[in-house]
Amino acid sequence: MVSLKLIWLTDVQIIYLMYHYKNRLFYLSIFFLLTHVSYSQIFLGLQGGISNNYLETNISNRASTAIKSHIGYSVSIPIMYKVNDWISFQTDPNISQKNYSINRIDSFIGIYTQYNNTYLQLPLSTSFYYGNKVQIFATLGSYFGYWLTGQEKGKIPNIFSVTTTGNGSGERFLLTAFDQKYQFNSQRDNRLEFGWLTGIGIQYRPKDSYNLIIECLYYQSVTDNQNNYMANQIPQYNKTLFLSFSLLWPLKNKTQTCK
Amino acid sequence: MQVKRTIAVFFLFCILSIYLSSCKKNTLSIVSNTTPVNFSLVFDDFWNKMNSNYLYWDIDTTNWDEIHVKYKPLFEHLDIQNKNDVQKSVGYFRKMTERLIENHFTISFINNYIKDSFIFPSLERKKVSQNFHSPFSYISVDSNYLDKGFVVGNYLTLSNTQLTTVSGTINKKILYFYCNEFALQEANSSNGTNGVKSVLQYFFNQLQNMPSNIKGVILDVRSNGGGNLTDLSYFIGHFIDKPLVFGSTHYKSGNGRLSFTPWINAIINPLPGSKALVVPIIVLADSQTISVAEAITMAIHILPNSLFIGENTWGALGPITENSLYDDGQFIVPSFLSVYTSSAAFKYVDGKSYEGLGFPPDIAISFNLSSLLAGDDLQLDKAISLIH
Repeated sequence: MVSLKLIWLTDVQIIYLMYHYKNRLFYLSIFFLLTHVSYSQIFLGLQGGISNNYLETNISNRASTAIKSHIGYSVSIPIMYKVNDWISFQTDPNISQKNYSINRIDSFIGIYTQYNNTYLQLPLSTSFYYGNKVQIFATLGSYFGYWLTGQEKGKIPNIFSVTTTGNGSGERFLLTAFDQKYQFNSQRDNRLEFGWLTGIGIQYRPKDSYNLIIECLYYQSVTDNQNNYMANQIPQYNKTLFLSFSLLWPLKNKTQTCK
Repeated sequence: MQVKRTIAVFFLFCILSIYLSSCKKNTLSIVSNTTPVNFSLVFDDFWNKMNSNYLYWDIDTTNWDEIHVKYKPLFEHLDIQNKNDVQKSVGYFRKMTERLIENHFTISFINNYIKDSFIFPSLERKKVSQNFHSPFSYISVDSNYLDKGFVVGNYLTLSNTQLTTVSGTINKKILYFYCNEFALQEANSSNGTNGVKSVLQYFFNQLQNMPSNIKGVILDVRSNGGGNLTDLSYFIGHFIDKPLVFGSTHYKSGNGRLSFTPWINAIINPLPGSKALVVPIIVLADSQTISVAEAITMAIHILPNSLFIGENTWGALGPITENSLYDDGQFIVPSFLSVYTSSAAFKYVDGKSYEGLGFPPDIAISFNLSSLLAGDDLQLDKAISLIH
């Protein structure tokens, strides 16, 4: 199944290479991982979980305003290629929500806009395992996403509802609620997202027939969710934490001796 | 061996994480609230605040990025301590903003060298147009049309302007109301007595208990410069018995030039006990009908049996309140200038924005100074002729 020419590197050699070839680090690591093969197995499964997204940007100039993270859902079909006992490659095409809200605080509490955004994502990642029947693992990878849809809901003071307060010295506004589909603007919105991900999890293999996985993944976008449409633009990045539960079944089982 | 390998892999993890996270741009704020100490900072603060606070970037044709490219170097060559340079900067601000479509937009200056300077792009554009005329006191002519017993009331507003209101009948069959600005609720709720209270009491009482001889209402907001937004609900609330949706508004929702909230309905609620108007209403407005006075014209225009006679209004339709409520609209560049601009963008119930264009009349009759000086108000004549 794996036809690479095998090279055994000591850990000291690996660190030496990492130090001297920083800009080729990614390629080296892939190469290194691919050469540590003992057997391979493909798994297919179902994954469901929750997401908690935060929009990373700078709104410090906006008075009494805060960004709040919000919970959403995530569902996916994970495909895992387990190279050996301690390494696997996987992808889990998923539909996930990346929700957040911009809330007014202090004397403006009650005014907010919540954005419920749904993304189609394709992550590619590698996991490293430690243990036997119950394994802990760590994951690192990257992902591509596409912003499928959005929903905006919130409450905002309706400026034309303004009335004076009892003594005539102040103004009172009625809050108007809204809940509608987000209207994409091709000039403003960058619907493609790319980023990196990392996480940890526990895998339990009660039998050879299936795997149970509980995983916590952190997705960090490195692309602005706005197009570069104006000077002095303040970028906005999604930061998402996923907590998911997966059940995977082996599709194919093949053992190879490589070392 | 497996433990060593795992340690190495985790080390690799850390390096890669640092490498990948460095791909992001920084998210430092570009809007400052400190006093700029040179012209480069004055320009940056003004440009950035306009970029994030101005409500019309989705329809405005001014290329704000080009303005940055062109004017940033010019401002960098100015010395903020030099009087001539400070005065020169006014010209730059004037050129930068001359094509902004928002008709409320003004810049006033705080810097001592240029305290008397004022930039009002829509006025400067209108002044050179053929049909421009200054505000006119129609009531000086129209009081002659009113039946004996009409009421006049004045009130000095909190903004130190003189509010004048007049109400009465014309030919015993038309109820007439005039005001030169909107501070009606303020006058009505002020302590003590003032003439405006009497006029409002008379007019609203007639509306609620419409005498059988009254066949129509004429509302005269010509050369009305606008005023308190609270008057929209207060005044129109007397003409309706159910909520009136007369358009929609949206606001800025972030620092992005094109970041807006969704459009939400602009609704005027009836006042307790108010009745729907049962007779035709004609609103008179002209090219000096501005802001709230335009909104009132447009709201009246939705009522059944309504008509608008006169000229295109000014076209300053975005309502304005304090910056803190929406984090948009008016702002200052500390110690240098102050910008007056809308807090919300407004679309009429027909889905169109009349910002910068003005609301067009159903029957257009131009301002005619010679007729008015001769005591003949052609716009009012037309309105009277249409009410039988």
